[in-house]
Amino acid sequence: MKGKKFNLDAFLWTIILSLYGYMILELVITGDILLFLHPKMLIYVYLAFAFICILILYQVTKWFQIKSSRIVKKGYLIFLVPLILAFTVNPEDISVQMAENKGLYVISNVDKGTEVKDASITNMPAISASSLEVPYYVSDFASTLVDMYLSPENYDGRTIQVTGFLYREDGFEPNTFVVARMLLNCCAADAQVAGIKCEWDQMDTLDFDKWYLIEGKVKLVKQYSELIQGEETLTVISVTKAVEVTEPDNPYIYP
Amino acid sequence: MAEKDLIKKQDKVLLMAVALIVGVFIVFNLTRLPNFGLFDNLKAMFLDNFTVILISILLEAIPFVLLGAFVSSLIQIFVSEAMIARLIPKSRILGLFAASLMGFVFPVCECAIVPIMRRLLKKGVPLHIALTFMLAVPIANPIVLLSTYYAFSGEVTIVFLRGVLGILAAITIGHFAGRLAGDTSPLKDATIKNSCSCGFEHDHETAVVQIGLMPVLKPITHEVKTIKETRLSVAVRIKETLKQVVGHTSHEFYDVGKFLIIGAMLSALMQTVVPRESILAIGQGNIASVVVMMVMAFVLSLCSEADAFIARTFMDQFTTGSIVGFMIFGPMLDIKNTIMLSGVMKPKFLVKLMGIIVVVCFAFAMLVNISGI
Repeated sequence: MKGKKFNLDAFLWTIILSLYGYMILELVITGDILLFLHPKMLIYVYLAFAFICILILYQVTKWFQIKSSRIVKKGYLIFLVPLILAFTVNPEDISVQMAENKGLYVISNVDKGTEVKDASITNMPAISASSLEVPYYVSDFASTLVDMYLSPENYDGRTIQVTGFLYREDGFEPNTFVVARMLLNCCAADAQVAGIKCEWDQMDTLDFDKWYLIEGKVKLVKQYSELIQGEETLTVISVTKAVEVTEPDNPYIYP
Repeated sequence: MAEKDLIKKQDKVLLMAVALIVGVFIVFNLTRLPNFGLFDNLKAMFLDNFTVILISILLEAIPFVLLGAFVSSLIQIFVSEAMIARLIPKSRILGLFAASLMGFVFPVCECAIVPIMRRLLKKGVPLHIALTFMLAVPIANPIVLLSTYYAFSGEVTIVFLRGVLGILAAITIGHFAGRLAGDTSPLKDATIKNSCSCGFEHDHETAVVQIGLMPVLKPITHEVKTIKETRLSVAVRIKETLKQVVGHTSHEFYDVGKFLIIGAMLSALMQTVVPRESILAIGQGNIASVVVMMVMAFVLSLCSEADAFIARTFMDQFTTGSIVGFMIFGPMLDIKNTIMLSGVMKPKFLVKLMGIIVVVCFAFAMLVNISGI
């Protein structure tokens, strides 16, 4: 052996692995990882990161081992594409964009019999004459959605404030829209739109690219549901006020 | 340092591409580009959406592909063909049945299963068993069935249908597809001499060996033999074995990862560009609904853990059979894992396999519809 030879192929693969490792690290540290994944998946990401580090360490030892084939694998280019996209494209306002192509998670799909959900439902204070006028601010969007479906009577006549982006489908009645969030199951690829129906004659003043704090009075509406083959009571907000707000850092809700 | 005469032109291009990426990182201080003027129109809207979906699919899949590569390496190093030959049941039906239940022992998702299935085939596992294993595990496992139970709010019927029909479908497909390949291996690189494809510096000889009923091209890996036979100290042996496992994993990850990324890009593209309404518009009748849901399952490429929640939203508009079809067909075949399989199997075989999967899943879904459950 004349002198140390350099294994370009191993070197490049090390770079690629390092870039992926770095991408994961940066997403986790900034918390942006939650824009892509459900929190329950994070443990797997950490494990993957640890494993990638092991792979990188191993690869470094191969920098000076020469293989007989000496071919640099072209496949590395494919690995570069997601990296380029991940680091140059800025996913702002994802919820609004995603909503356009995803389906609407119709509220009637939340089933009455689920025991598991009860533990997370925020119990509203009992209705009294005075509290009817005080707006109830919805802090837990997901639980409120469930609660509104299970016990709509609790909300009848109450004034509530809820934050979300606005969504509307072609089949909706006039002046009807949904104040919604993206419901995330495992990853952004499976996200669905979930929200509360609203009615407002000033709907046309709203910008459907923005997030709003909607305030209004809840009324109950009876509707026929195919799923249970019967009538069900739904909550609809008669909007009185809409204030534009900024999209929260974590725009998602989880089932 | 690098020998200049050996760096060919293409390699230079690749090197420049990598240098460019690293440069982009450093120059932009590792932050994202703001959406400026020219960009800030439909194009940016599309790209953002596409990127989010692509990255989320990858972030979700990479841990499991790594896992699959790791398990595959473990099998490569620690499990011998002889062990496999002993474990496989003599009766075909028993073998199929056992393979279909492996999901309860080995719950892995469809991303992880591809490298494992390939490794098992190379180790001499008969084709029908390997296929049944690959198709059943992403459906008939406790994690997926539990999440299906949860998604359908305790409706045991649906969970039962998914599990039982999933197993039956996997067995049926495995049985018929197992006969498809005949005497040749369906794997892509079986005909290449260096079929270990691990990049390790050892010589390979291949021999045609009869394992069970299948003639298999078996690579004789000297390195594994050497480690076992040697009297080196335990520490060195462990170190060498670890190095082998990591090395194989690394290579397998590259091998499968390539196709994962392509598949993820296609899936993300479909999700960004194709609005769900246009697929749904095909129809809701007995037959049309099954077609719609199967197309949907193929296009969406969801993990079998999450697809139940999506399926749930279609409950009131579509027939039960089509929902079950969605939840059986999806884990078996979708854009993402079709691409991954294309990297592992010969194209002719893959196409035939896909055909059988489509027909069987369709049949089972129609069965549910007709029986009026």
